[in-house]
Amino acid sequence: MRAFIPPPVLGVGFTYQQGLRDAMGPHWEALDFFELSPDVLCHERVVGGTRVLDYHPGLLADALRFTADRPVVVHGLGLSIGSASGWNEGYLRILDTLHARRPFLWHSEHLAFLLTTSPDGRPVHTGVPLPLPFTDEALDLVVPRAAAMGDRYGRPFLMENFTYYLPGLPADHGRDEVAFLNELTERSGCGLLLDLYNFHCNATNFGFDSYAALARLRLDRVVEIHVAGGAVHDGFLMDVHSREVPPPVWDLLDWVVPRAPHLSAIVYEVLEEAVPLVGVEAIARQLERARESWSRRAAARGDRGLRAAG
Amino acid sequence: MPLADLQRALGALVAARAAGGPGAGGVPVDLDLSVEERAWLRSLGGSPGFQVTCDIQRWWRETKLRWTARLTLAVLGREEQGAVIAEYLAAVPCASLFFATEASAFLDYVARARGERPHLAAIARFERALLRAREAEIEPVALDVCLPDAIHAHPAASMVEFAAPPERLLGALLARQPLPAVESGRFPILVAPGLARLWRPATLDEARVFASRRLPEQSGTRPPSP
Repeated sequence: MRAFIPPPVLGVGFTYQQGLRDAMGPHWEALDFFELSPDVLCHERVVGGTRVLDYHPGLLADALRFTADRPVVVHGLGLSIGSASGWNEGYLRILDTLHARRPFLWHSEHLAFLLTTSPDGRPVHTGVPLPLPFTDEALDLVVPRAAAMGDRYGRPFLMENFTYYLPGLPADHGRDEVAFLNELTERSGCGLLLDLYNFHCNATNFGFDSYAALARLRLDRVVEIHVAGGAVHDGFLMDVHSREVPPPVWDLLDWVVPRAPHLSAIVYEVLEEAVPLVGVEAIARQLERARESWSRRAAARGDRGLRAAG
Repeated sequence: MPLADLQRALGALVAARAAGGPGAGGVPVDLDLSVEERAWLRSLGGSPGFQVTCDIQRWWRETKLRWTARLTLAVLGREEQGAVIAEYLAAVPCASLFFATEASAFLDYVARARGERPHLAAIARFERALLRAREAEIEPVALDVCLPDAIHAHPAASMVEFAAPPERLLGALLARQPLPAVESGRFPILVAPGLARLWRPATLDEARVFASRRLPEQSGTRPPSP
């Protein structure tokens, strides 16, 4: 068992997206912190047959400049922490670069895999994050990696629960998603980024009780919560970050917040491409609603949001 | 029954279904999978959740193309876009989540596979060249050779030939008008980092010099950061 060290308390945040800088206007001022996704600040190039990730110097500089007055946390997609064939070493290098330029308070990744190999050994990109089975081997793979991610920068590392649509994922000892997350955080010392919309999608799509499942989750390891809205396709609730947060997810947030003693942040997620559909004013309302939940927690504990000077 | 083989099998099934539609693909036989794992993988084929997973992969790849290869798709027109995209998705496996990587592979495919269509291959090469030049503006390419005192083509520059005057061809595309007829003349276009809008019409002399002055393939290295 590795010790879990709760990070500083932040408040309500939003993902920095360059295309939204002007559109969001004064609404940026209401945020306690920014979430940065390195993936959208990078480009790929091929060097000697190997794909290499580099930051767009201009995009990175703009992002760092814009977010300079507040704390940042990092949320990635490209690490592929669950790949048995090896995670994305190139992604680690861009995290190293970012942390050297702008130390983040914590970083997080999705519990999934994107990289594998073909049966004849060629590298394969799945094109969509795929879930891990709830097996001992999967835990033995991810636990040391999650621990290593926490050690690498001396900052907490959080694992995010993911939306999946594949039924009957293989499992050992009757383990389900909640049991897997619990064992992962207990053994690795990592925290949890509880994506309540993802949780709601899985509960809806697979017919389990969200509250009963959350009651079993190590809520004392929840550091950050994501809320979002999505769409329905072929009867499945989809994690596409394209809508306002639906009422059941706000209800889940209000239920979780007083039960997560180390909750440090709430983020409303929406894709830049979906902003014309959702509307900036609606985004602002989502942030205000998140702040209502946060304020109830903050009032109960006497917390103050951390806001770095200059 | 290592996890790596389970992931290989799942990746192969998703790729096959996403590329080929319903009924495509099967569990690879030469992987070390347990009886239960094989049964699970076989059961996925008929599951709506597996189809949704594959739909997401396809949608995301198509979205990347529609955002990044707009001129080429405009040449194809609404009726043909879907078919060519489907053909590409079936022929070329996903290699990346990055828009430019997917678009580059698509544009190369179109230029190769649909070369007989008037203007299509040229526009695909033009759009591909724009991506390359844009990347070079973001991340300058170091010249790792010792240059003699002569003119050389920038490694990220391209000379593309249109079959009609560029202002008429591109103007028609952007205005969604019928494309001009193919003309007998040559209309070279220089695409390079540092140019306004990354391109300009070139003269035939420039095209000839460009072709004769290309440097050996560069390594893609970049200069040290300041």
